Amino acid sequence: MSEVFKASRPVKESSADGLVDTGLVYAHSIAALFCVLLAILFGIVISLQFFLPDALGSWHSMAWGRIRYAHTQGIMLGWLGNAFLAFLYHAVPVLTGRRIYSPTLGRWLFGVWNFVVMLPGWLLVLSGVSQPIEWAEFPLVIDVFVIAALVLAAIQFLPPFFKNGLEDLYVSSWYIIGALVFTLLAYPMGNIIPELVPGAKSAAFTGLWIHDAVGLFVTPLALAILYFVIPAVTGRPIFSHFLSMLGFWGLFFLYPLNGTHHYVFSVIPMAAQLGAIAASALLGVIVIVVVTNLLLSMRGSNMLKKDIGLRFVLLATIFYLIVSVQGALQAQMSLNQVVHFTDWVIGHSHLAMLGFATFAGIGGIIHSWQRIPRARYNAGALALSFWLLVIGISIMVIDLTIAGLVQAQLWQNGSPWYESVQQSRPYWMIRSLSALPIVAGFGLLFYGLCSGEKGAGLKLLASQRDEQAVDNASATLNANQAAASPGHFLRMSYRVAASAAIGFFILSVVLLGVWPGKELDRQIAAMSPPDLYALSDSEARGRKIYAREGCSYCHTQQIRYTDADIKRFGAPTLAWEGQFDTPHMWGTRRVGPDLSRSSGTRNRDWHLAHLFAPRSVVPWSIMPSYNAFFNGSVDQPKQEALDLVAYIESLGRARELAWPDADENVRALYPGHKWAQMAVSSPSLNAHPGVARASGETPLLGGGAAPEDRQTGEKLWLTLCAGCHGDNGTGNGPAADWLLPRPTNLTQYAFTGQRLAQVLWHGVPGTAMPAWRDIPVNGLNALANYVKAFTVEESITPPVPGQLQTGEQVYQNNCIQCHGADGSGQGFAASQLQIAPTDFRNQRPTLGESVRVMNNGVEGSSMAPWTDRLSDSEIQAVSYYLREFYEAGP
Amino acid sequence: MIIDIIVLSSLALALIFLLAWGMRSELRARIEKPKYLFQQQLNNFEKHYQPVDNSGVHQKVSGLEVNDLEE
Repeated sequence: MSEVFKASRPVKESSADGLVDTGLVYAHSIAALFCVLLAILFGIVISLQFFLPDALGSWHSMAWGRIRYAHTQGIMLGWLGNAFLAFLYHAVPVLTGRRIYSPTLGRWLFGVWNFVVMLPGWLLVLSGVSQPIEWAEFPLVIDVFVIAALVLAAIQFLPPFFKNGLEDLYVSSWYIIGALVFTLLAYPMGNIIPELVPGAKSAAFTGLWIHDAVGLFVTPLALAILYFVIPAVTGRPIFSHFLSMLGFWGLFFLYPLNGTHHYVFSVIPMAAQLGAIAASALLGVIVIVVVTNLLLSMRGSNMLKKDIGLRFVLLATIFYLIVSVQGALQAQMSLNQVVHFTDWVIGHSHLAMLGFATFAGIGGIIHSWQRIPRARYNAGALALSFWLLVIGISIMVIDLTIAGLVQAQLWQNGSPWYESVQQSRPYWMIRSLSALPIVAGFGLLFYGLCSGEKGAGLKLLASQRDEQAVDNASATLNANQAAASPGHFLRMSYRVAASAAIGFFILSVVLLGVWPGKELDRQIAAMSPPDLYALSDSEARGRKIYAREGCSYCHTQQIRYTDADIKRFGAPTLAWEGQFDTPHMWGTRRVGPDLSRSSGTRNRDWHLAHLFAPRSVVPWSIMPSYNAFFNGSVDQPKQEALDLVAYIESLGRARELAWPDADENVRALYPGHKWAQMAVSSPSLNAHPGVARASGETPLLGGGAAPEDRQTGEKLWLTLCAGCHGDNGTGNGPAADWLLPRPTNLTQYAFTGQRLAQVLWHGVPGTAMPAWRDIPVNGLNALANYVKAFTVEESITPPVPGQLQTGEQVYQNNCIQCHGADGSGQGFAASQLQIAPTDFRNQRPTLGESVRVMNNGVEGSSMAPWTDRLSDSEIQAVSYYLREFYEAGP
Repeated sequence: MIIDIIVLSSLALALIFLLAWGMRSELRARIEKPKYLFQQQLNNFEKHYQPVDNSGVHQKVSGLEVNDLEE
């Protein structure tokens, strides 16, 4: 290491000649701006798909999930990574009085960061090679080069700091050292370990990384900029170095311990969750100290009006306060159970990355760029870019926060899922519109740094300097006075604190990663059913596709231990359910519903139609089309589509099959454990509450309808049913041709209220007809009445004498095996059939429909054509006969 | 237990910092020294950039192969 120290070349203390390698500042700044414009373009494409889901047609490389991967990695590594590196090339020499280790190394680092990490990373995720872990989406092969680049950065920037004693290091230096060291520790932990451990254990490490990426990489470097730019522009030292150091150590102690607050109410041991919640609250207090110190450092400065970089820094400070207090609050259980998974969290993350960190990054770039000799500098354009970015980001964050609250309210009160999607639509549109000022702002920022007079930044700086409150004499005096004090105690304190910070990081990994893993292993050993259902080859391939396409960014696979989750999605997730899931697919957001228990809720045909043309079966769906998985039509699925559907149909099957034995086991093993008992007390037998069932108690439907019910029924019909049954109930909806059996032509049947209740409440197992238990009963009643009104009034010629007797004879000879002697659909063979035979007591076909069915059969069901065994007159006769059953039974 | 470890150790560290800061006046001065040193560094650095005419700035580049922009 001493060789390294020698190699970082010192310069004369009073000279700045050649101190800063401005070429590298320039290169990383330009790269940062390219990356942010591209990453924002990805973000815009993502946001547009929320209300224009078919905008990109079948362009599979630009599928929603893949661009989402490219968006987040582009912002964190491409934009912020380059912006921070640009700043470091300016700041480290100024902070240390020494040049960086090597300009050649700098060029290598630039090349690796942009042409070995960013460019291939983007290309890989867009072509389907990725890692389904939040903020770690680039695949493992790219992670290797990120780690290599972080090592290069450490070699490049760390040695100059160790020339003098620790006690003389300024707070920005501490933040830079901390960021470089801790990111190097945290990155492999967060990007590699989740690939090696399954399920909840994998999620525990992911939670750590999600927060470490922000807390140990982004935040320290952003704060280094704030602490650097403020005194540099105001010409005065910061308010208190003591408070700044208190904040520094507080942040590095507490940030790593926050991670598990991303999985509150999960199966991760509650002690770890509560620890993270407590750390989050403490962190909020520390941030208030940090921000107070920063704001006091800017007090009374008239440079805010003149220095654009400082203006960005001021906003970054304010955004930091808001986002941190927000973060501390939303980690608390009372707020977390309401807003988690909603757009509130998306607003929060945008405020952190696009508000706080981005404004700090821009402040750092402008500050450094302005000091590049002969660099162009257009102050007017930069000033305008500031306001455009403030407006754009403020609109986006406020909009997403309100959207989150709307979604939270709907999710809590049990509203159907489509309502949250429909009511979010205006907010999603506003969010997309907020991109206009943001893009214009970044465009102007780019223009402002590439236009204007050469050296205009320095000229402006020189004119401002006369008005700066630079007091070099008092700074020297104060420094000399302080120097008279012994520094060994402080040096020792910092060494202890640095060791403690490393210790806290290790503590975070142990307390929030390793220990929960051990506890989860114990849970799995105790609760897991002995013959656990494992994925078939097809399902395992489907899982990889699910990961590759970023499905977990919209669909969680984690039912939390909250009443709202259990009521909507079924029994909460137990640790053993994910023991083959490496890495986990828990997700952190719900645009679509949770899929943990999707087994049995829809059939294969429905899933294939939904993948190919989502809005054909779900008119309100905003899911992107995956028609690239088909050879042009739904009935020609590629293996990818079949595998993905097989995987989705497998989700939750193991848990359902494990009932009741595994549940009894849990009850016996954990009699006094509130959460364990909650996990086995779901009213829906561990399956999704919306799973299709052959029978069961139903609410009374089809009763009297008020006039306004007609509107409710029509709305529900068009929202839920028209995709398959058509607007007019004729069974010719957009998806009808892809489903077997075809959707029922409801105009050709009369239904009792009991039958409609049965179908709407339980679905029709074996068909694409799902259960609609998530719709309130009064809504289902309105829907039932709406469906009843489809029935056409037929004028029937009465049967000729003897015709009914013939029909009875035919029925007895051919139909009772399935439909039963009483027409109830409960013949002795019925239980062997995948799709239950029609119950004629509650469902009466028109004569024409009966004849059509007996002539053609019902493809996809056990009902075969009867033309080879029955004559036309016999078919006509039995059609008359079976009408007699309607409303005749008990 | 985890909460206790986090809260107590955080409070203990904060308390140690505050006690040391409150009881040792020389430490109070010493801990503030880096901000003055940094200010000196900044002032020296900023002082260097003085425009000399309309064509550019007075900037000597030595030692490093600093890229001169747009040349």
